[in-house]
Amino acid sequence: MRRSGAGTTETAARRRDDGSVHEGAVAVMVVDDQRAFRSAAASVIEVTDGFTLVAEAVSGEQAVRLASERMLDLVLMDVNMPGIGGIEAAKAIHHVARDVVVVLVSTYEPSDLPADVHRSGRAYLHKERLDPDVLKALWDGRGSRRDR
Amino acid sequence: MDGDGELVGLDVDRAQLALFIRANLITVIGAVIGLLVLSATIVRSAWFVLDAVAVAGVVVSLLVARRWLDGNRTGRALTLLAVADFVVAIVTTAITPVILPVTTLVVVLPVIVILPFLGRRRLLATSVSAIAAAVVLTVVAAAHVVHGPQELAPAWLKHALVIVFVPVVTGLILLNAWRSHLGLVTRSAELRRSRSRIVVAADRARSQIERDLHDGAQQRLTAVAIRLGLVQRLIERDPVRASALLSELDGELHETIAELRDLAHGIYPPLLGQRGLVEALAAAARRSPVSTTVAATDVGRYRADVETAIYFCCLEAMQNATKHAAANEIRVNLDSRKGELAFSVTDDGVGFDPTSTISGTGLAHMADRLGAAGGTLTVRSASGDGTTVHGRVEIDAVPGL
Repeated sequence: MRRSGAGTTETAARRRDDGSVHEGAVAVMVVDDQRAFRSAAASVIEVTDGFTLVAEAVSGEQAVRLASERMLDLVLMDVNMPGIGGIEAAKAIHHVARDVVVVLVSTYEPSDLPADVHRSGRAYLHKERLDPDVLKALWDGRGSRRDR
Repeated sequence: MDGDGELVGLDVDRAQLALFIRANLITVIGAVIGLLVLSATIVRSAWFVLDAVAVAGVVVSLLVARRWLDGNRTGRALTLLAVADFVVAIVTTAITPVILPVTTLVVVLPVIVILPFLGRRRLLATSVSAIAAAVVLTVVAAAHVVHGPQELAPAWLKHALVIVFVPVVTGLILLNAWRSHLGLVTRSAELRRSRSRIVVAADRARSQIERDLHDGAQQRLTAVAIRLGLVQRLIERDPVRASALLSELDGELHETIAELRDLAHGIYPPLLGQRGLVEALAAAARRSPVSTTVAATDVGRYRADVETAIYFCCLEAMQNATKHAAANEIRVNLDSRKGELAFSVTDDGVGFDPTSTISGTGLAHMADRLGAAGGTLTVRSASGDGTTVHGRVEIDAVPGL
């Protein structure tokens, strides 16, 4: 896969059984049961160079299914959703697509999050802080654990 | 009350009182027959016929009291019961002074029976009346104004009457004291349960508000903040896209405002505090998807807890009629008279079997809410025959007395 724009440039084409390859851009999936955030995140991804929105999911279960079907690089995953929720879904995605970077998101301050969010070792982003620069920084750090 | 689909809710004591009246009716009718048989056989005295007439008066007063009890005029029914008891005790003692030990116990009986239903003032009045009746009894017995019946009766009959009836009436008093005790224990257990249900419901409501705010307005405002950031970034580079984002923002903000307005309204309707029950319920009726009429008689302003409890009970009943009963029409009635504010919500929907649905529904919460304001709730419904939720609150009642 090819990723261009400010920051590092990298070629890391991942090929699935169906042979599909994302053309250059970082493939992002947004997972949230709330339409408002999915739509705002879609706007951010749309205006960020080198990123493309390839899927939206309304539940953790749907996200896991989509992760096994599509080529993804980055997942913005809401923590609180009905069903298995974001933390379990992130674990399950890690099993089906090991290289996918999952960033947990919510409207809570880190201090109000359940302990397993911190234990998960995944990056956490307050939804309100999502913008093109943060999106790029998250990808450059490959979702390293750093609450934003 | 007996399987006719009515829920007695918090009116368990009233049901027991109705049972007491029924048992008393049987006893008193037996006494009338006994007195008539006595006057016709062993003691041929017209005075016993008079006594039988006095006791028959008790039968009439019991029937009237039962009627008043069904018509929710409990206070009046209890007064009648006590007065009838005193009168018959005095008449019987005047005719047969030897019966004084029995009648002395008889005047104590109404105080014990009506104990669970009375406020402090009425209980004091009944107790003082019982003492006065006991004094009159003693005077009447000592004066021995009526001569004849007692002299005509054989000694064994006089002893037998006292020996039989003193333990019987003592037993009745103890039985009622025990019933009052059980009633108080049950009531205190129910109060503990309802207090805990009220706390749970309040916590649940707060949690629901947090969820509504978090999932609703907060998510929308977060999305607005994200888009505003984008607009700021794009306004010079790509004004067309920035403008498109701004119009999305406009829609999102209007939806947020509407959502916050609905949420605030659900927490406390503004008209209720400003204008009272009638206007607040009329506004709720206008918003209801089912045709709803609100009628009020002499309804003014009341304590805030009373108004809030009645408003939310009516609202819950209206929502139940809409959501579960498939009603075509709902009638809300408010009526204030004689220190009592009553309401009813009647629908023409599918109804339900109240005996199987009371727990686990909003009905328990409605009863708790009204109970906390010093009121009671009754639900009448039958499958296919609509539902009526009826409640009443004593306006000048001080809860706990």
